Amino acid sequence: MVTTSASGRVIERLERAIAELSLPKTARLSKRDLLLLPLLSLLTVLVLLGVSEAVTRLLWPTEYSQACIVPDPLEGYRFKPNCSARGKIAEGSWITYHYNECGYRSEGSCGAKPPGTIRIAILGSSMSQALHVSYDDAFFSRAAASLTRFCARRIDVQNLGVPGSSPAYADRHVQEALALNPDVVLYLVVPYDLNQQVLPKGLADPAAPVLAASSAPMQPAASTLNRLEHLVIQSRTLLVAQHFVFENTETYIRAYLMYGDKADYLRQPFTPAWQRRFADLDLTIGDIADRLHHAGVPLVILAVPSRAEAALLSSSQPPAHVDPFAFGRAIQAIASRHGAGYVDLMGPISRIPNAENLFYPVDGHVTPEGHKVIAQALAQKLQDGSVPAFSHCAPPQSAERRP
Amino acid sequence: MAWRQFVLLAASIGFLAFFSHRPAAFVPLAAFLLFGFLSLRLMQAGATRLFVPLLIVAIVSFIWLKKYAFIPSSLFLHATYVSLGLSYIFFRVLHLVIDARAPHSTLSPKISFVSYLNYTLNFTTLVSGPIQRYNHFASMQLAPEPLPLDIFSAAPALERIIVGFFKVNVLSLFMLMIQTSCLNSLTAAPTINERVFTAVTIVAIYPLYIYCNFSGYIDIVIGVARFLRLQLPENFNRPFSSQNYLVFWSRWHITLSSWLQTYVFFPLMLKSIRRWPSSALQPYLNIFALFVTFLLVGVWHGQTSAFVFFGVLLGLGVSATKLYQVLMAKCIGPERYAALGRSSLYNTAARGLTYSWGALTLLWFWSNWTQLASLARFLGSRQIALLWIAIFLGSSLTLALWEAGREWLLSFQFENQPALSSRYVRTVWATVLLVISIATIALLNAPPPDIVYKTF
Repeated sequence: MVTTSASGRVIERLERAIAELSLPKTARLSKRDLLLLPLLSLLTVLVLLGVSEAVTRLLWPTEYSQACIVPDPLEGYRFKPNCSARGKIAEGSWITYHYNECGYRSEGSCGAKPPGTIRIAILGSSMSQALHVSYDDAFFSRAAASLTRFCARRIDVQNLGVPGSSPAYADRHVQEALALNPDVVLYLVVPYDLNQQVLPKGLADPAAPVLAASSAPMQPAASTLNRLEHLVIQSRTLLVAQHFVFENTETYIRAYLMYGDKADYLRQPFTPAWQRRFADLDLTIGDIADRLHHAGVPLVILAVPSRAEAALLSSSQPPAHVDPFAFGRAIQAIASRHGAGYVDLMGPISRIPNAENLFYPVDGHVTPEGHKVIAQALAQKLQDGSVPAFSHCAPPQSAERRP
Repeated sequence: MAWRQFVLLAASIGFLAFFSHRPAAFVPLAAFLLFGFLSLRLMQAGATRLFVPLLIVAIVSFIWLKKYAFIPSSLFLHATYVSLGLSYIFFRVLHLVIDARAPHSTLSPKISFVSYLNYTLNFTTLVSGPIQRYNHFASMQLAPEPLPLDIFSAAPALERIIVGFFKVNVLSLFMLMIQTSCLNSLTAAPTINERVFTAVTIVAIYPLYIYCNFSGYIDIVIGVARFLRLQLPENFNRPFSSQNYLVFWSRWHITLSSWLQTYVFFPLMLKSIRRWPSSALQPYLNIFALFVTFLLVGVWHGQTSAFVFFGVLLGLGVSATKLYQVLMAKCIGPERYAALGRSSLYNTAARGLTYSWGALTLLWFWSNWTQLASLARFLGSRQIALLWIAIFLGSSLTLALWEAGREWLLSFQFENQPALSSRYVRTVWATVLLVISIATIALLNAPPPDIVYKTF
């Protein structure tokens, strides 16, 4: 009969074996166990979290140095002149940040431009400042080294970039950049910058609400739940877990596209909110370009993609309605409208397999390898003859053929 | 009892309703179920001459509704319909119809429509089994006294759900992520070593992935069903510890192989032995019946030619194993062959070979001809040979270490039982798995952190 088949017996034996593994039916759970087992469970959770946090903190150390930061009532903060500080994010290595007498992340003095030197002034946020990357690995140092070789003139970089700063901040510091007597002003735009105040007050409609800066200092936790949430977000275990999970491209893209408005710069057509941001940026860049043109200083704009954008750029099949080139195209159009140069980074990145590896998976900033790619694109652009100060420099391909 | 019947039915229909909001989408499935119930009733009424025609209609309807690739697509229903669980409903319906026709059937003569629907649509077993037999199901669902649900049954059931949840949402997920990532990076691997290593990962990780995913799902449904006072049959029993491919299939998807053994292998053997009664032929008839049975396993799994080939490989695996057993017993004698089976080196290699063959067959399960052809072209014959040598050696060693480690861990005793099975260790273990599972789900279902400025 069917039910007495050999397979039926196998299942019965198996079920018996499993039943034997379970608690005996005659057993009684003692009062001690009724208390002990939930406590054991709770203790396990605490030990697990404690041990994982301790281990990850040991293996993935971080140090947030505030030594060179000066609170500024107008700008939020600025950097202390002639200051050096060391810092490290969990995903990166130890970095020394040195600020010159003007508080810029530059090795050269911000004083009068030495004769025969070509000076580049950089405006922008953390990407411009090369956050989490050593000075020598930063795109501006690499580009400067390469340009010095090809132009046979010293390249001096004055980096006015401040992490977390907005396009409005860049606009406010144009005069400061011009005071440095630069030969070119480079402005780096990252999608995140547009989540902040894009339009300076002078250009803004006074009736329009001002967008809050996302880099605003974190307010003290209001409730226990908030404190707990803050604790979880600050957890090193979470960071390490995210690091490994987000190394997987598909997972990262899927997770990133969970963002609504924040990720809408990747989606086509642009939402009204992003159209407004681009319109505001257009006004801001227009203002910057006008002031620079008036002073006879060319403006070059470099759009740096986000990690998700880079992953999508090098992916062969982006999801429906997602266009990773859209942000770059929008910035290029703005640059072209205002007679500014544009460094195309989207094209070179799209040709690099797994370009998301050029960024720290959790932190999102560009790694030293990524800075190398930016430096190459920048050096190439500055040697194309569109910036007068570099017009005499030989392009890299012809230079390489020199004996 | 009656209210339990209606609660289960409501839960199962509610579960199905998740998959479509159009009642019309359920019509083909409902028609198939109705046909199954009528066939059951006809068999129970003694209309056995209709058995073969009904069986053929059931099989053809299944093939048609599942849209097998060899049927011209113009013959398919063009409207979208729900076919979720149809493969398992098919087995349950056939089991009822075949058993109802048997002269000394143990099936209840009065299987009500509600009982029939509860058995075939039971939401805990609908999607991927296990394939429970009706009497086993009815002994609990229709019993005047349902299975007790106290802390001694609820706690292990909860533990099963947690373990299953961890297997599905953590282990199998990460394994799939690794495989996908390796598939994407294979062509970019610069050196031969890296290519072979990446290809080994792609091929060797899949059996582990499918095991964690499928057995994890089974753990969950067994645990959930236990809370409904139902005990579902086990479907896995440490399959990778198997020393040959026949044993593997008695430990992997147990209810499927058991079903096929009952309804395909045994009848086929019986017919063959009656047709060719020679005892010398019996082992070879056995081998042939095994081949046919496992060919059907492959065909049942999918609609394309890749699944037919998958079935051929499954059939070859089990029939070659049986042939080897027959020949070895003949050549060196049953005692020496049994002694060989006790050798640890032999067992290590046998486990590795079983795993490698499993990984090979599964290539036609997760991939397709085009993908496999491009993979083969990319690797070339030398690297393919290296790949299989690496998989065989790697799996032999890994499984030997696993077995040794398991034995060592089980050697620790507490309260006259392995310490690992003590309630304290199990509580700690289940808590760890639960924390990791929740953290993983939370991690994967939240967007990555935005750019942060913590240090400069």
